[in-house]
Amino acid sequence: MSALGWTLLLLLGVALVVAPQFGSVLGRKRGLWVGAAVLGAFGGAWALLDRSAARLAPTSWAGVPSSPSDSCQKCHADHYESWHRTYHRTMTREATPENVRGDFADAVHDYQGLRTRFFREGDAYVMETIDPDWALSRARAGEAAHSVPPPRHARYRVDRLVGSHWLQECLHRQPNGRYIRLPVLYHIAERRWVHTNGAFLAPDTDDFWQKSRAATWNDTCLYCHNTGPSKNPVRDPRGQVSEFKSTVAELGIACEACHGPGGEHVRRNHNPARRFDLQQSRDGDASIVNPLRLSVPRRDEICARCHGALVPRVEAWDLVSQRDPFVPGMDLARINFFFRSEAEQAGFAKRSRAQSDPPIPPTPTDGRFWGDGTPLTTALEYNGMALSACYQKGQGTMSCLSCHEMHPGDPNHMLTPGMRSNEACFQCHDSYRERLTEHTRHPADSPGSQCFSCHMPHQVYSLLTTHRSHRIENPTIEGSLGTGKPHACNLCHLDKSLGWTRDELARWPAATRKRPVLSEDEERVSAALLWLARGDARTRVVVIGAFSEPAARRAAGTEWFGPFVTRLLEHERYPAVRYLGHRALLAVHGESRAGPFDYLGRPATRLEQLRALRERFDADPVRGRYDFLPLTPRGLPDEAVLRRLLELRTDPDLTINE
Amino acid sequence: MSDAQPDLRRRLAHRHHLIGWCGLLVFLSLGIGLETLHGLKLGFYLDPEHRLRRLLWTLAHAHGTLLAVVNIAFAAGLTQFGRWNPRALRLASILLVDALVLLPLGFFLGGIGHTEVDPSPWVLLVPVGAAFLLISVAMIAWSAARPIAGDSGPRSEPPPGP
Repeated sequence: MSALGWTLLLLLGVALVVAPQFGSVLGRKRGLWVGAAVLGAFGGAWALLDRSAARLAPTSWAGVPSSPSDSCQKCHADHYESWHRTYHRTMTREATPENVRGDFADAVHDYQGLRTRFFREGDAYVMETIDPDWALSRARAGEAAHSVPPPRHARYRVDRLVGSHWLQECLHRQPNGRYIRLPVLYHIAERRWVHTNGAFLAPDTDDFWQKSRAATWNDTCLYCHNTGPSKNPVRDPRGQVSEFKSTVAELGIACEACHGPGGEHVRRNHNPARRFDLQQSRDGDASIVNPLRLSVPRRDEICARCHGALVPRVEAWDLVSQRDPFVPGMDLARINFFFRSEAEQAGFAKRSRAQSDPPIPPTPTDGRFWGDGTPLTTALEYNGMALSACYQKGQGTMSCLSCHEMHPGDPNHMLTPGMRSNEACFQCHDSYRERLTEHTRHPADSPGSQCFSCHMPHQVYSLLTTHRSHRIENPTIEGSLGTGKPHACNLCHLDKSLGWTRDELARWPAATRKRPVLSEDEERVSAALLWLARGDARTRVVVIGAFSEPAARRAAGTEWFGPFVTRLLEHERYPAVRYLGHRALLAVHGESRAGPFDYLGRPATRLEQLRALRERFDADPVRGRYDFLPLTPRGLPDEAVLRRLLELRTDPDLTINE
Repeated sequence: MSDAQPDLRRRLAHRHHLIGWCGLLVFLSLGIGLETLHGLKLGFYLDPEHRLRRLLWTLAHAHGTLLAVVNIAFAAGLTQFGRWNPRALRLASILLVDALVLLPLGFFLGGIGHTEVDPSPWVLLVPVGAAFLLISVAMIAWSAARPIAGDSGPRSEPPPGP
């Protein structure tokens, strides 16, 4: 029933009760008139309100004003509160005491002998670090570094922050409105300052500002880490960007990122008759976007805007303001290209490629995708999901919201309560509930019987840790041959070879009859060791990350970690790999046995520390039986085999574009 | 202007006295009921998504209790103060009783079937009850400003008899 209908019914009810009372006091006629006048005044006022209520969607979302999240709180207190808890909200913040996570109490960070100091100056947070020009001259000097004068330092006020969950980056605002990323950031989990070269996957470098020199917030972070972004570059007469007047509707990912601009919704819903009408009709309010009322593709594209690989279609954007034209509910592909490799990304960016062109597969140094197209870093979860058979064959059954929720979920991964278990998959694959161990061939209470252990393994790296792949797939040997992507089974069975995995997988009823041909090393040597010794940095960082996982420690045993990991880290030139390797040793042995080791320390110091650790671990040789680990009869790693494998290492300079 | 008959005042005073105490019984019981819901930590009352229900039921309890006390106060003063036209007195009395019913009932039923944003449509009883209360209170205030007919001010003690 409509709001007006309800009102009339209620007033009629009241009239029936009070009319005889009024009549007895005022006389029949007069009582009737007075009663009718009072109730008519109420009914009329309500009818006028109801009539003035607009119900259609705004004709153009582009003209709808933005409304801050605080204005949503008045009516949607629960949703506001649940959003307020999320790391989405705090993705970008101003540098104020409630937002700053780093230690600015005169803390000092030393990277390769170069000092950075963090302190307060009045209310301001200040980072005194290496001067970028000095860093450049030092990097250019190369071998002649001794001829470079002593380091110069520069002071930067920290104005804005990006991140509040894993890492927190510090931004400095230049007078022209450009926000630059400072070269040292805070690792929240470890509570320590870390050089950007250690925080992102990149090889050791002499260039202190390498990862920050071209990092402009207005160009990149602005779009996904804020709500309603407009870059607003100002160009000089030569067409060069001389200034930024970038604006956002709100810093961080606020209500409007998923629900669209809310100004009209707020304005219209000051009218109580409209709200009651909506409440009764249950059709939803056309003045705001409710993702749950959208089709699955449109709903998922809200997430894909930031969790997908996109290049803007310049013809769909206003090139002056460079305002993101996306409004939730729009077809995202109308204003962006989806890319599946960095080569495709470059083609779209240069406008030399169309969406209908044949795919360009990822190269071996692709910083976002494994060779088979599986995303290898975060913020590409949509791409992974879209490649999954569950999504493609699900005919609209599966969406991001099948497992994730933006409101009542755990802020840590935004998972719907209960979705950390097999219940997530049982939503569609309920038949496995009864025959779980028959399918998994692992004990029911073991990690091997958790669907996502095998179908969504930790094959993704970012933020100094590994994450689950969102490409839900059956693990195959072919998927790991020549793609760089570690095999799901061997990310737990670290001590087993790829050949062992192939033979085990052959026992599954759905396994293909094809028996992939493997090299002798792949047959005989632990796949994890092979990847750590021979693989590129992308593979190494994912595999070494697996050593910290409780499931892997349980499946592969841990007594061999120390002797092997310390030897392999000696040759490691990527700080992120060293960090995760040491994290694995700490997880198994604790600080007393696995420390000290500073993954960002100077090479000589690191080597000394690793040698000390190695001696400690070698004193307790491996006693268990490990068929695929190259061990000497004394239970120590076979140096000759390790050396041979290390000589086969493919190690181009690469980075993962988080 | 004629004043209301003393027996009408007594009759209405008795009615409001009775209704007021009965109202107190009902709405204090509601208060105890709400405290019990707190004690038992029942989700349909305490869960964050029922914040509005909690507010509305608390308002129902508070308004009901207060209006019951107002009815008792009206009964207590009716035989002693104010100058009333009988028709106006009966109207004020009816409106005061209606307000005691409509206001808390609107709040209470508004908390059943509510959304995150708004109460259920039953809350529309509240403005009707509020209007009745307002009119009634205005009439009582108006009458209270005028002395009872024949009353010319404070009486002096009668002279002692012979």
